[in-house]
Amino acid sequence: MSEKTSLHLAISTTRQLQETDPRWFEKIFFGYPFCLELKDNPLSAPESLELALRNFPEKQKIILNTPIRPLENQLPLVSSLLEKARELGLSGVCLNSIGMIEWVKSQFHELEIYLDGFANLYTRYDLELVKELGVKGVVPAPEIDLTERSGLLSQEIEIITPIQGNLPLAFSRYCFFYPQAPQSCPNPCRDAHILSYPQGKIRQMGKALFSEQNLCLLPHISGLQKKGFHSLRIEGWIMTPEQINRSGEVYRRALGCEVTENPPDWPELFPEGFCNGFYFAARGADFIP
Amino acid sequence: MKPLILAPAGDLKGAEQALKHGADIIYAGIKGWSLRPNAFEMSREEFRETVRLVKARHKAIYLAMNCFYRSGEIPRALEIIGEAAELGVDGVIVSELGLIREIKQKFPRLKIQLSVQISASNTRELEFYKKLGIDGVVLPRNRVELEPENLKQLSSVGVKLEVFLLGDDSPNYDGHCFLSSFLNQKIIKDNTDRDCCSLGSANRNGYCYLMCKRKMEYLREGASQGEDFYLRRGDLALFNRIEELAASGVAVLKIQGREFPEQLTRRLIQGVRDLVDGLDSQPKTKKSKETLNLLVNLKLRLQANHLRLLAKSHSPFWLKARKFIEPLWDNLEIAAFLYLPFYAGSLRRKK
Repeated sequence: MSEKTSLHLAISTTRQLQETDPRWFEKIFFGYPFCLELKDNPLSAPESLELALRNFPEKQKIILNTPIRPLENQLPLVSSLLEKARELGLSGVCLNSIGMIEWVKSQFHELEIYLDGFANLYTRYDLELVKELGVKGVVPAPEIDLTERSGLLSQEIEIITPIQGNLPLAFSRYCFFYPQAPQSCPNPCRDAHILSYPQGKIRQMGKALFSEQNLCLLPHISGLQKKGFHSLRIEGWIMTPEQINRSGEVYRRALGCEVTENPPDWPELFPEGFCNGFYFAARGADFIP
Repeated sequence: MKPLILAPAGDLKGAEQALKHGADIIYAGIKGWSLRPNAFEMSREEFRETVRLVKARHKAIYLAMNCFYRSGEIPRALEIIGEAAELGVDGVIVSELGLIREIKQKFPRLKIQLSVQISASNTRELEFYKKLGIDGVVLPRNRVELEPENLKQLSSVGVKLEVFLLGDDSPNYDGHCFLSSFLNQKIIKDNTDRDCCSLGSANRNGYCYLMCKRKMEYLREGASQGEDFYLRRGDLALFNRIEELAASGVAVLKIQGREFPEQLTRRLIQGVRDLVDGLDSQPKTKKSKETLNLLVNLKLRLQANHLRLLAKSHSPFWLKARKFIEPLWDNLEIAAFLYLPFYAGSLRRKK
């Protein structure tokens, strides 16, 4: 009997959550870890998180992202967000540092712990370490290709593989657009824009940079499943609700082998174009259809 | 306590100069295994010689093993670390957290310094890494992390804090930026004993194309023309904060630049040595003020040095060309003149 493949989603804002159809997804990684000044970010305060989830029916699907690289004076915020997550009955929490696991585990043992791509998990030695720390699932570092990634697959820990969406490429302590007064940031990053190098384009949201092109592994889905990748995630961080819902629907059908190639509306829905990330041992921006 | 000076050595000659001009500890990498292009790493024989030299001078040496490796490369990485331990190396700089336990188990005598690639930012993380077995940690190159209040809290954990004295005020966190590899990566087999070399990846081989320093175009929706845009915000130079850093618990002042021209590194180490030695003298001597001025000038020259880094420092052509160009950089006026247009550009951006 073939193993069931899970489809997860990562999103940033309350609006995205409100307009997302949750039935496509097993887990929703919720909240924007890269910039607390981003409007509509549920991680800016525990009250915002409560407000965001007040009418959301399937709270057990939510994995709460946490602010990335928290400074000492931000730890109380992380703590109160996790307290709220526990109170709301969320199922888990997603961290971006192996160093934070023990502290979170000691205080919030009811919450399952996941690690995201910026936790720099590269080898099975790292995997052994986090397994012992009781981590439930990990998104390995994005630079790992599929061959290397398949060497990390394990029965005891969920290896999550991003398959669609804009890839987070870097984050900063500073805002590149609006460094002057972060407390009253007018969020110029939310206005449509493109940052282009001769080699390719990127986009900024908050203090993080994303690929302009969308990672797309739709034609490779059955191959991925055959190789043992049974936990997939849509990187909806900067996607529109329309893109998120359509991706959820299409990938869900692809998992059932109903879709094997990009649907006709795909180029219109993702006009920025596609890339394969680092999966085929090339530069991340390349696209092999 | 006065902080120690940790200085780079791209080759044996560099190590010799570093020790002569005041380094307490030097760090070096073996070809292919540290975060620098091969040209600034040592062959195993050269490294062996370097360790002998360092030990003869009763100083310390760290081996930089700070890449994020592939799973299959870890046994070879451990072999290299084992050889280094036998030679008498004092410590190893590591990014791979899974590797730390192996090192601790197999070579308990070795000190482990956690690389800047991990970007440890708070006491909870440091407490965990300490438990894992680290002795020191290189802090992120961000002004916020290096505020005295933050440093004092971090130093309370009891691991040695290391701080880069100069470099970029990194727009993106070291070890957490995939811009260069996303836009440029090429995976090749080079002449080292690693499985392969990820040209363009800052994390896996140290071949970063420094996209954050390059000009890009910023185009808003509806605008007919784009604007020039840079991610980089400026340089971090902490020479005038050495006293404050020491008081906040910083134990090691790290100078980066295995790829810098030797004459530049030499003056830099000598300058920092003077500043550290002058920490006790009150009021500040004329000499330490002069040293500070010298280092500010050096900062300008290092900015000039960025020009060279921009030119893909690992291209074979550039590596040959730098032999002829380097003497020019020893002349501050020429360096400043060449850098001026870029400096003016960075001032405009700051506005």
